[in-house]
Amino acid sequence: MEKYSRGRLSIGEKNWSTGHRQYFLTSVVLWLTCLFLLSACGSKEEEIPMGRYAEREVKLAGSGYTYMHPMTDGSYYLYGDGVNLTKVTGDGESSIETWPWENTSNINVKFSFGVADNGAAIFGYTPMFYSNEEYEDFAEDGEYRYLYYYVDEYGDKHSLTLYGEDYQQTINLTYFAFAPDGRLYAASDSMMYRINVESGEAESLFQTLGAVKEVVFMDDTMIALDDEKTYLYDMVEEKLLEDNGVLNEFVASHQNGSKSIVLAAVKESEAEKDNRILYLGCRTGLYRYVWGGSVIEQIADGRLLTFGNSQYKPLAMQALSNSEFRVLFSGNRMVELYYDETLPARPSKELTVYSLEDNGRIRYAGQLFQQEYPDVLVNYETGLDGDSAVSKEDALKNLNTKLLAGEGPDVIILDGIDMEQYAGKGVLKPLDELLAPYEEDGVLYWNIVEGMRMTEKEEIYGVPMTVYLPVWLSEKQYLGGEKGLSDIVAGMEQARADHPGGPLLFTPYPQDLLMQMVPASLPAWTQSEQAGGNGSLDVAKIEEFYQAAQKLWELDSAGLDTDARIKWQQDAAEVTKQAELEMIRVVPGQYNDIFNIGETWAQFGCLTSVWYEMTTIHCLKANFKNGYYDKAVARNDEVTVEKYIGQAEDVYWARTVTGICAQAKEPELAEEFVKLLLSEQMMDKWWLDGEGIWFGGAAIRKSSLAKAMDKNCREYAEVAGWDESYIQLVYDGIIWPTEEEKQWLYQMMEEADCCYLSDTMLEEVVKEVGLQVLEGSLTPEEGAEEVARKMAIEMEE
Amino acid sequence: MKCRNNPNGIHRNRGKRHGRNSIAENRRLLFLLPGLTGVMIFYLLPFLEVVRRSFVKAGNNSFVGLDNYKAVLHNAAFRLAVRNTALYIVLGVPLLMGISLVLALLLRRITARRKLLSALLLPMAVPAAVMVLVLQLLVDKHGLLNGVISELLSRTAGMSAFYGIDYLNSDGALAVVLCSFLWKNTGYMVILWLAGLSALPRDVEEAAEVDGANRWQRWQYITMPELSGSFFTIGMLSVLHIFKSYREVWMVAGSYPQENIYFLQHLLQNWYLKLEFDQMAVLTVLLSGILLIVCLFLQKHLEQGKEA
Repeated sequence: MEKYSRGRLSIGEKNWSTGHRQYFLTSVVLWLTCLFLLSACGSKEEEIPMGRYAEREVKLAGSGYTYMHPMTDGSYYLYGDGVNLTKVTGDGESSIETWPWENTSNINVKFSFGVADNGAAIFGYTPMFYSNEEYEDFAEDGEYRYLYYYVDEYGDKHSLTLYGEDYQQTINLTYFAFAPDGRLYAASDSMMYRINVESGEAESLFQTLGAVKEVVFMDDTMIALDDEKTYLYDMVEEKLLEDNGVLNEFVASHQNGSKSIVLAAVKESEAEKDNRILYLGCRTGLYRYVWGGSVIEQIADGRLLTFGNSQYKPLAMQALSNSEFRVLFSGNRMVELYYDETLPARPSKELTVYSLEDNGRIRYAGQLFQQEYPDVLVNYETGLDGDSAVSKEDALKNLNTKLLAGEGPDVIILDGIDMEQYAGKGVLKPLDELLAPYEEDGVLYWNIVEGMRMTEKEEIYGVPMTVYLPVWLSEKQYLGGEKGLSDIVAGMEQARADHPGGPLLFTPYPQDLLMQMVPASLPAWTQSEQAGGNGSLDVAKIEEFYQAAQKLWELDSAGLDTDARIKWQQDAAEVTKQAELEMIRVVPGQYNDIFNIGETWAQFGCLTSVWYEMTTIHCLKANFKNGYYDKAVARNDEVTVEKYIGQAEDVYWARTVTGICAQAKEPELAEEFVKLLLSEQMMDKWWLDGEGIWFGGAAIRKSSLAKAMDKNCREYAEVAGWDESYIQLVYDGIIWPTEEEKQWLYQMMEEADCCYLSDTMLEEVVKEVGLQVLEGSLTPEEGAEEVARKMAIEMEE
Repeated sequence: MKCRNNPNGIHRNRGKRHGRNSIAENRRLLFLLPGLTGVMIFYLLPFLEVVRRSFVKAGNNSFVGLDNYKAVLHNAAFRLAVRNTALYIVLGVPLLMGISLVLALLLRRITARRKLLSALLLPMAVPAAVMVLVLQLLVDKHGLLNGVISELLSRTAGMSAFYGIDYLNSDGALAVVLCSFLWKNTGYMVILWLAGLSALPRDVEEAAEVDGANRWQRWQYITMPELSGSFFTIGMLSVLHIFKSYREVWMVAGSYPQENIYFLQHLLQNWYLKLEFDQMAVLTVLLSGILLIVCLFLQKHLEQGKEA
């Protein structure tokens, strides 16, 4: 018994002891896990490592260079419109040799060009046309035929006609590249060729999905890329190699339609660790790909280099010794990238700029700011990414979460954001002090700035860069001078009496009419905007708006039965689609084609730009957002563009409204950023070369608006690559604004003092209910009541 | 015998047992503490921060006492949301529990109920987006329901002009939302009830039947008390599900729906967008308090019922 007991005891003790140890260990593990997880919480000061890529600008001897052909010895050829082909062996300004064989500055439109190490070169071009007849004579079946000539290393020049393998058809080649061994490769829109310069035969090598944008050679491999993917071609075995998924993925995500990736290959023997390395430069920075690897590593942040500047577009890159690079950008800018170990890997300060949607103007300003303050990283965040499924509501929630956590941006672009709400909650900082000098100087249209003053808080929290002005255009016989809603209705009654068939307005859909009418009336619907503000809704005004809209829709519909309406909608959709797809800007010469679709007689719009004698008028607000749909109207004896007075007077649509967060971590830098936005440097800018973006709107800086009136048309022509004779040919000349017309615009700007901010909930509700009013299921009175009912909860909140 | 001779031995043994219990309890605590720490850090402390924020003004963080509470309680949108949410719970929870219990009792007697159960669970598997789409197809102004009514009216009463009702924008919106809630959750609740019912001791019920108890008496004195645990669980789950059904309501009717389906979650979401963080904090505190009271009340009430 004793023995048994002892035995049990000993077993029990042993168990207890082992179990105790196990419990203890488990518990320790749990605690350690807990501590490990918690250690990741909170912030800690991070030490910034040293060393990053910096750049030095290379001064170029000439201007207009758009091609750079790197040579294997480190020299390079430069070429462009109106300049001679030049070989540079030293820096950009010295050791320059003009190509000895031919004056290449007078070749017209160059579509393709290539030069070999030994000096041989090939040019693809078309001649200059001075009339439509000349063009028609030249074009084959309405299409261009490219001309080519080849100059060998001894200066012998041959005109080339390039044929496909069957010698049946000529081909148009858009890219040439000489391999290091001297063989010539070329690409059309869908095929890669090897060219026999003696016979003119183009031997097909492989098909491509699109036009090849860049070719480099690495040992015996040719690497070509189009908008979709890369193509690897073994020049010895003469076969297309397997796709490289890593490179394809990179190209698909970084190539944005036009050429935006430049390549440089480093040969095996010259590279570190005997690897072959491909360098890729694009908007986001410089990347390094070790051949055969599974990742592409970023080695330089584009935001800190010209790569990230949307004003410049990368055109060509050359790898130099010591891991340095030479890059040619559009705008005749060349830089050399070098690794500087004395610089911190990233700037110590960061200025965060937030906007709901991507804004090219802000991106550009960020790049300018970055140049001015190299020790500051401008971090531009957008709430809505064009490709993702994030809704506006989600984006605002994300922003609010950051604000709540004290991680909000420094500068906030208030387009699409409720400025009053954010100011009321103390998110925004008053700008009165910052703006005071501008008032004293009188450089801005101060009435517009004053229009942003919040009635409740008596302070200004956001300042716009540009404005759109609501206008009305129609035949003069129906309306002349400034018009309100009732005048417009009366004018359209007269127009309908004169023209019983067809539409009156460019409003294929009822929502178009509401969309166009809203900006000049919305500020009158809430008491806060107009009458010192109790914030209540003016239901009578909304009813009046619906009455006018209903009458106009009835008048418009009186000339269209259902089938005609559908046809009209299809025609309009076609115009819109065409405008969006081809980026057609409808200009005076083409205005008749557009304006007379369905024989419309009048149009609401917003004066959004000051090109072509102030006649570019955006007709559909929604389409305007896409950026490409304008209607330009020639101001002539019959047609007039007038200020549109809705229910509110002197309305302007504020664009790129900028505010500073009260919690800004870098308040001084944020103020400097706002000053930059209001500077001449920014306000004079209306076109972003690197991205092909037009900035809309009339600048609120007086001198910039005046400059735009005088300069934009000519600059537009230059940017588009046309000389004046070409414009003359296509558009029947440019009608420059008269002094009277300029004064009309200036006066409108001087008078504008009532701010319309788009996409508010009230606007959405009025448009939603308005559809029912126009369809006839609600009377204007019922519609106004429905709006009040729907808005009641929102206002109570 | 041993005890009589050495009565203190008992105390020593008891003391030892107490000592061991205390060690065991400490050990349990040691295990619980990491989890509790997590709960403390990720739930309790943030909640305390929410409570703090309910007493300060959003933006400048100045202490405002009960002003935020007053503002919320006087807010018409809040009162509307509370009224609607309460009505939704008062109607939805008993209906869901009642219907599912009746179905469970009926199914209990069916031997081949497994297939039926699978069918009942099907709505749970339907993604919210699909459910919203189905709902819209059914109750839209030009939807199936209006189509059927229009057809019936034209055939029976010869009425050709029935323009249809936009149910989600009419006074019937709450009924639509309730129906979709019941459709989605009844099956799941039936399963829970069946689980509760299967745990009931058959022999007691059979004994009662032998003793002459009728069906109602067996239900009242045996089944009901035994199901009290399930009542609590299913009741709480029903309340939680009713709160979760907001997602569908929001997807189908947006942030500002018809007045009688404007719930507290709408208000919370809209306040978040409007940066009304102080009022949100108040609402969260109030809501948590109410839920806690309801939970405690239910638990206590059901426990008392069970003991009785």
